[in-house]
Amino acid sequence: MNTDVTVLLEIDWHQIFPLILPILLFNFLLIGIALLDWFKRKKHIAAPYVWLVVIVCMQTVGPIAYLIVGRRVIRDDHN
Amino acid sequence: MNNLFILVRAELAEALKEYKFIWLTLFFSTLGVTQPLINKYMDVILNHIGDTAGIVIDPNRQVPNATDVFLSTISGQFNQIGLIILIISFMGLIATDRNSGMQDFILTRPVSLYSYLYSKLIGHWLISMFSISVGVLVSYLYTVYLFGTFSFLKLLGFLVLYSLWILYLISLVILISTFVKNQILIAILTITFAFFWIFTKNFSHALSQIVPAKILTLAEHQLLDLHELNYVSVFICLMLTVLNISWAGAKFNKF
Repeated sequence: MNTDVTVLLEIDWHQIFPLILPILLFNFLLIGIALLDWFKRKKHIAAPYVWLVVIVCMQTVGPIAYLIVGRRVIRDDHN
Repeated sequence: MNNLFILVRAELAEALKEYKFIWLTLFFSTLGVTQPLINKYMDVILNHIGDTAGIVIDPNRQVPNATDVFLSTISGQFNQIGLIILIISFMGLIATDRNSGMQDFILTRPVSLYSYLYSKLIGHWLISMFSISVGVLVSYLYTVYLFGTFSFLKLLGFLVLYSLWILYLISLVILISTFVKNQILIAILTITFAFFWIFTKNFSHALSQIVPAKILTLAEHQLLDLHELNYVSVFICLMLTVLNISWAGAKFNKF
């Protein structure tokens, strides 16, 4: 893997930034929605803090996985 | 008819409460934006990120035009990762109702089985087409900005035909839901079938005429300047959709 960071400084960011801005924006919106829902349902879902890590750390896939699967898996209070 | 309308509205209200409209739209917009950007800045990305010693991009290569880039967005992103996420978001459409007892509740009212099944079909079709349309529109704007223009009318024609493919997919999920109880299994089976159809549409000329995914080819041909298009696949796709729902209904009635 290439870990040389200096090449990132050579990219012409001013040219590219307006174009990648929507991707970043969509990503943050998605994470925001997932976090909002997580905060509302924190007390009811199973393993809430695992899902928090999944939402924040995994790009795009994490929030979607939470919104499809995570919010439906309710904690079992009998155990 | 009135029952159908009410059930569809309930379906949409549920999707709104689950933020499905928002996140599915965001997801498809991200997909739509990514592909044109990758196509445009491929050499910049390769130069700066990868270990590219010895790799040369042909400087005389053909510059892709807007239609090519848009088609690669559809076949490379929407029909692969987009299709998988779409089907995973649909996997519970009958199974959740059955497990929560909502299905028995609805079907013991004076609601016909078919208005229940068609409400599922139409409701989820509207949700997914809203998201996909926004995603395609964002992708169109990006493609036009980066690669030059192509006709918006052609895009609309594409979208209408593409929506029929989505309609078929949802009917497939409904059909498989009546046979299989496990949600994950439903998703896996549907994805397998969908990719199988997409694979067979290019397999042989005679066989591909009766494959529902043939409508994707027709949709993509809307964007290219081709004449003598074969619109039989529209009828085949719609017929198979109705057949799926009827089969699912017949399976339900046996219980």
